[in-house]
Amino acid sequence: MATLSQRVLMYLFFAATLASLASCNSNALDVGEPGNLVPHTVDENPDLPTLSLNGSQFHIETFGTPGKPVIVFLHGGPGGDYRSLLRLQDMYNGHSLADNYFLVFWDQRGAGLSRRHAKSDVSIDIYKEDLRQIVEHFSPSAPVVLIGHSWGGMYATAFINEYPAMVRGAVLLESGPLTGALYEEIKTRLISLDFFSEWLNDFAWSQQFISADDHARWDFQRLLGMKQSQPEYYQDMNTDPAPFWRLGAAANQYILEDGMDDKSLMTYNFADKHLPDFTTEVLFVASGNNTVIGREFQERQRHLYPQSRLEVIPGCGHDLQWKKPAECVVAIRTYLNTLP
Amino acid sequence: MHIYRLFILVPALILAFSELFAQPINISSVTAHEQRIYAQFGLDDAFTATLGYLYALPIGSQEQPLILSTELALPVAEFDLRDYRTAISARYTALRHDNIAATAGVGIVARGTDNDIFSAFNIGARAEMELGYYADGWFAGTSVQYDKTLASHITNSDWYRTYFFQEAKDGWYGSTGGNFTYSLLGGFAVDRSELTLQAGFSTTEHFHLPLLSWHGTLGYSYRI
Repeated sequence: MATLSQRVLMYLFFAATLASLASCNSNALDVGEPGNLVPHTVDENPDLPTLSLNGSQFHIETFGTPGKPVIVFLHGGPGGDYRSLLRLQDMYNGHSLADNYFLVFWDQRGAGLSRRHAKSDVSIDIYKEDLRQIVEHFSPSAPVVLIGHSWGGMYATAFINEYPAMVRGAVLLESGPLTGALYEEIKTRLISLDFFSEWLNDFAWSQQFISADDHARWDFQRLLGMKQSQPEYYQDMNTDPAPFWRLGAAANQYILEDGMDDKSLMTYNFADKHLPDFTTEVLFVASGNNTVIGREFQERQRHLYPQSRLEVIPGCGHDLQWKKPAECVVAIRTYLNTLP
Repeated sequence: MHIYRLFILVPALILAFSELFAQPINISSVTAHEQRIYAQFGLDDAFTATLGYLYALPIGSQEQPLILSTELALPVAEFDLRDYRTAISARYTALRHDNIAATAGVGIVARGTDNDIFSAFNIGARAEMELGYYADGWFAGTSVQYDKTLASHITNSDWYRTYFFQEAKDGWYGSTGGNFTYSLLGGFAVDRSELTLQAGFSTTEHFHLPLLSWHGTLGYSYRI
């Protein structure tokens, strides 16, 4: 009869053997393989609409007739994608922005369904160069209108600060902080870091199951913060949430790090170069419900531009472009009609 | 036997028949046939409460028994039995010189989770090495643990499918990753009780720092 020690060792060996056999099962799915837990990017799916420039491959879609004035849309994040902006090209009251403009929607470098990159290939300067080449590609002889949501508003501002002559006008849909100083003022409220919150503990607990050692796993795991991490943004995440195709977790981290100093303080300044000379009026749009970067915050930061005005869309949070697209389009159209 | 039955059988066997270790412990104070119950609380892959049982199995030298234990850990931010971790492990003192000792351990882990994006059941394996100074009544040391997932059954949530990626694939996945955990640990004992502290950080198996990489736990064990 086996002793207790032999029995215990036998069970350990048995369990380890079964688990090892299971892990070698050739029918098992590969967690790092795009298409299993997250969608393919343009590198893995040749059927996706793409554009190659500046050493990368971008997921991109256009609406309207080439030759018309160009609007380039900039999604949030960093690391989001343009899926949640697409309602802005829908038809409202019988009209679409695509009737009068050529609309360019694209996923930024390392985000959405665009190509993933190493850290050395993702920075704010590289992002500005990507956008410069996109503008040049679609509108080589005329400045464009930029419409950016959240991080996209920051991105638009960083671009205008660098290349003001390439921009005819801009709409910033509840933009994130345009300077590091503003970011530092509100950073404790951007994400809920209550150590006993369900979302944070779910995120931490999930790290035992999925380790972020490739983009597919990193992007999938980062989704865990999406639903509950920003309660003061008042986005309705249960009913018709603003959708993504796929988060770009690496791009999110690399761009944020690029805006920081070595003490992890945000030191970027998107208003320090040519922005004070950009005399075209810029439209700021805020949601009525966001208590972090809503009306009050946009009212403060819009003065970084020499000419600006603020519209507020009531009854929605930070996902205003998805929940109240018709109201956003009315504000955008009214603004576009004022541009020279 | 279909593969999924193994994943029901293995944790059942683990829970029914075996013992494990996880709690830091002063190995110099452990004698053959000793039994302890222990509890741990702290940041351990989330805010987690752990209950365990430890048995010192005489094997070879009576001075260096095989330390076996079993435990159940539950995140406590919002009590949810779908998030859990169980493990069995065995640890043995591999080298000893006076009060300095090195121990090595192995274990099997079964764990589950349920969150906004997916639910999962996972089988993993652990290996651990600990080096420390073990005196009468107190100890201090350092450890490194490798926790490797072997197979996971993942079910994507309806919310994720409906609003984000409809084609997300449910099913058995091979290894979904692994983590190294590096710790400093120590404790002191009074009579039958021992208090322990453990703190450190983790990296992925490819040495990337995860978003939440720190851990720290307070433990208590009682010799019965």
